[in-house]
Amino acid sequence: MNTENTAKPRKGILVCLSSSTSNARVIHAAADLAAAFRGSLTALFVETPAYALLSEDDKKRLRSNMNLAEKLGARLETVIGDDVPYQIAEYARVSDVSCIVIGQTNTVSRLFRRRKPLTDRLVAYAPDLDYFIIPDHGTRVYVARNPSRFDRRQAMLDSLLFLTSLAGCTLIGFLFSHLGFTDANIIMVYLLGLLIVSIGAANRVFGMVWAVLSVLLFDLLFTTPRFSFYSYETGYPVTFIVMLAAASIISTLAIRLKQNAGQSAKSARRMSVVLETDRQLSKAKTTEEIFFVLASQLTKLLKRSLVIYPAQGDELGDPVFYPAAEDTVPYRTNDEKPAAEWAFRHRRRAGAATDVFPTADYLYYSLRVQERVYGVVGTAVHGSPPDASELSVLASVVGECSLALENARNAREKEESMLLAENERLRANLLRAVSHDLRTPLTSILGNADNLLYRGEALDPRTRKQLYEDIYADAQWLTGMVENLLSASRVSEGKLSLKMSTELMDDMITEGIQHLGRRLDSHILERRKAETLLFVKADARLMVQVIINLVDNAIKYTPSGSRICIETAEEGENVAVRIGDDGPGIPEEEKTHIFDLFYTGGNPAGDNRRGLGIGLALCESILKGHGGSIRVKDNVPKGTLFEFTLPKEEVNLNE
Amino acid sequence: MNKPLILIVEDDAPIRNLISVTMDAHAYRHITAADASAGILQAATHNPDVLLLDLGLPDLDGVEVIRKIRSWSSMPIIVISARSDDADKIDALDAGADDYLTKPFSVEELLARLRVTLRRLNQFPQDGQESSVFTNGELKIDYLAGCAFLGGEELHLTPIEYRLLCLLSRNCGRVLTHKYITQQVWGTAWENNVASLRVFMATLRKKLEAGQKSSSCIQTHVGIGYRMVKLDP
Repeated sequence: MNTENTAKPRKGILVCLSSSTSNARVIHAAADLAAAFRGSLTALFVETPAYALLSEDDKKRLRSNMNLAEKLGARLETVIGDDVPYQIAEYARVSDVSCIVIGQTNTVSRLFRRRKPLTDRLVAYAPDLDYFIIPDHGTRVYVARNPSRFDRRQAMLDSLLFLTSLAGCTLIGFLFSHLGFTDANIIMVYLLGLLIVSIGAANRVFGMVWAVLSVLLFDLLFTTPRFSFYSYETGYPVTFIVMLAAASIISTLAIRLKQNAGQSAKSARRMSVVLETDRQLSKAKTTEEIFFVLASQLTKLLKRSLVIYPAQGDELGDPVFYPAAEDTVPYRTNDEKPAAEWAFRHRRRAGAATDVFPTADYLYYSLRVQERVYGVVGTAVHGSPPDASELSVLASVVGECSLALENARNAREKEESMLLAENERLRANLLRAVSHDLRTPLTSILGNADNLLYRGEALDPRTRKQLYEDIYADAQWLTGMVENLLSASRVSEGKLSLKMSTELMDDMITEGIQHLGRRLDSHILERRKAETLLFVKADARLMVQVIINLVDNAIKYTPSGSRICIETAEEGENVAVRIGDDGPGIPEEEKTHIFDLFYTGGNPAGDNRRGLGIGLALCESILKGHGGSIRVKDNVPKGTLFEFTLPKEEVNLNE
Repeated sequence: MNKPLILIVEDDAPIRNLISVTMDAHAYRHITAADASAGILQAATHNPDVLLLDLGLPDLDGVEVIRKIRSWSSMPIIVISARSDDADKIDALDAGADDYLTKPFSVEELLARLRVTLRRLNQFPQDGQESSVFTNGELKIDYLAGCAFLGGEELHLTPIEYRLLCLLSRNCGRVLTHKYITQQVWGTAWENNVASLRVFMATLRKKLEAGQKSSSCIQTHVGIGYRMVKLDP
């Protein structure tokens, strides 16, 4: 059997928590079992309505049991419900638990029925689990005692309801009796009154008192002989007994109804908070946003101040304090930090209401997924430790946030590695292209300079001039290339390195044309400016580079004397710039490729200087980075037309 | 008048040589320095007409050199920088430089910048003594009357346009950064003011270009600022 168990991946072991003193023994046994099976341990506490009535000692014992379970490596869970075995079985069913460790508690005999032991009922609900029952004699299970808190106002209201109902029913009884209705009708009226009182009053005592009183009143007022407790008819004692039984059942049912309603409201609220947290977390992308969701949800839910220490590498960062509305106690970082540090280092709870740094004012949870800790969250205790349901909400929200932090981190890492891979690919391509294509102009410059230096006298002036011109042209080509490579490196660094400012489109075109200088002398340039001032938000240096590249292409790929036209126009929400020429144009099949990186085209003139094929690709990525686009078309009547658009920017004047 | 004296502070020998040869070829007198301390000394002893200053010097950052020289002299400084980042140029201009050149630069460009700067010297032969009337090509500004004329016709300018025109004309030949101009005109250098500045500048230039065939005397330096150039009379 052992071998069979170890063959299973992981055995889920569930231990049930209670406030009993022997519960510690049960927890230890469960922990040993979990260690033996190398299984995961979950400690479950079922919060019943009776929890609120527990004494302080019991609550304290329960907390210490919870701490113990956590110390032994258990995951703490709390469920809310009335039927303990049903809740345990349900939890076991949904959470992959295969084995339950439970203390065998003494059963409590009640007035009307004797309950089966908890374990028996548990087995009935979930027959296919393994059970380990630890004998637990001589201890009490917690039973509901009289509520320690007596609410005077509530009692007054209940008494008022009770008395008016009783008076009303009796009056109606007299009316019925006067009209000659049968006694059964009067009894029905009292039963109705019982229902009202049982549902309306908070304390079940009222229902019971009603039952007794109504029977006595009925006997006194409506049975013959009147005004005596003696009854001639033999059937009446049966009526009394039935009435009493009905009263007892109705008041029990009514009270349970109220408790269930309260519990479902509580768990619905918890559920909705957890769902809301989930929803907000799914929207949060950065660590800061997740921390903010955590803080806002928890302060809203627990009405306690919150403090978050984000992890910074292996250290705990500075705390961020989120005070609750009514909390005026300032956060004392120096006194509190050791507890937070401990929670961070040991990845467990610490601070108030735990055994570690119990003097701290806050209760600290580490935000962790397995071994990785993302920070520590502390919630204000101020002497009133959170109860089991608060703890459970806290634990589940903290767990959700830890998962969200883990997801955010994974997404970030994935993005970074993808970016890195993409950058690496670009870099490799760039290096290849650079080493291959920059050699040509460098060879030409070196060779020409060498000739001029050592054999210059032997050359005739015309040849010499030709060599000088070649050096000049090659150097200029290299200059342009260096500018493009610099721009490319800035674009590939991502959006952050763009220096956006509001610029006048025509100014940037003018600047670009100035850069081209003499190269434009061989062509005829025409400008068509828009009537209005067209502003765009752009990185001016990069946008000028786009214009240089486009105009430079127009110069390069058209014969001298060709006409180049630069036009700016407003198109709806965009600013359009068109750079057209009347050269030979671009074949249709090449148009789809010219924006590809390192595409240099099937350049027909073999002696033409080849580009690196980064100019147009760079233009496209610069424009995309600015939220714009670029297209190539045929110019009318002939030639090529490059058109790019950028979102228009409105400027509010400061006068 | 004497030939202007140019001080070249540049640590890279080939570039220094290139500038020297260019100066020789165009009949400018020149002296050179290879680092900041020598440059400051030369500037103090020879009081050159124009300083050509490389920003990346071995012993001291060029911007610091500008601050030091500005503490005693208003000699025109043209910065030469291999840094492509606009921020460096803007720092240098805000520290008191008059103009900038980015490496690689062409010889023509260098000469053009030098001519612009020297024309400015001729415009204001004596420091600190401003005349009440400024003329530049077709443009005439009467500071005392508070109005500007283009080819004899009065220009209808908004108050801000007029202030911009005055600011540029008083610093004719100098490149003024966006930050400097917005601080002078609005008192702050908010991004929104810089955007407004572009609008006012564009409308001002339109008005100045209205009567002329050529472009106006105001140059735009995209990403840096504006400059009024002295037009040939």
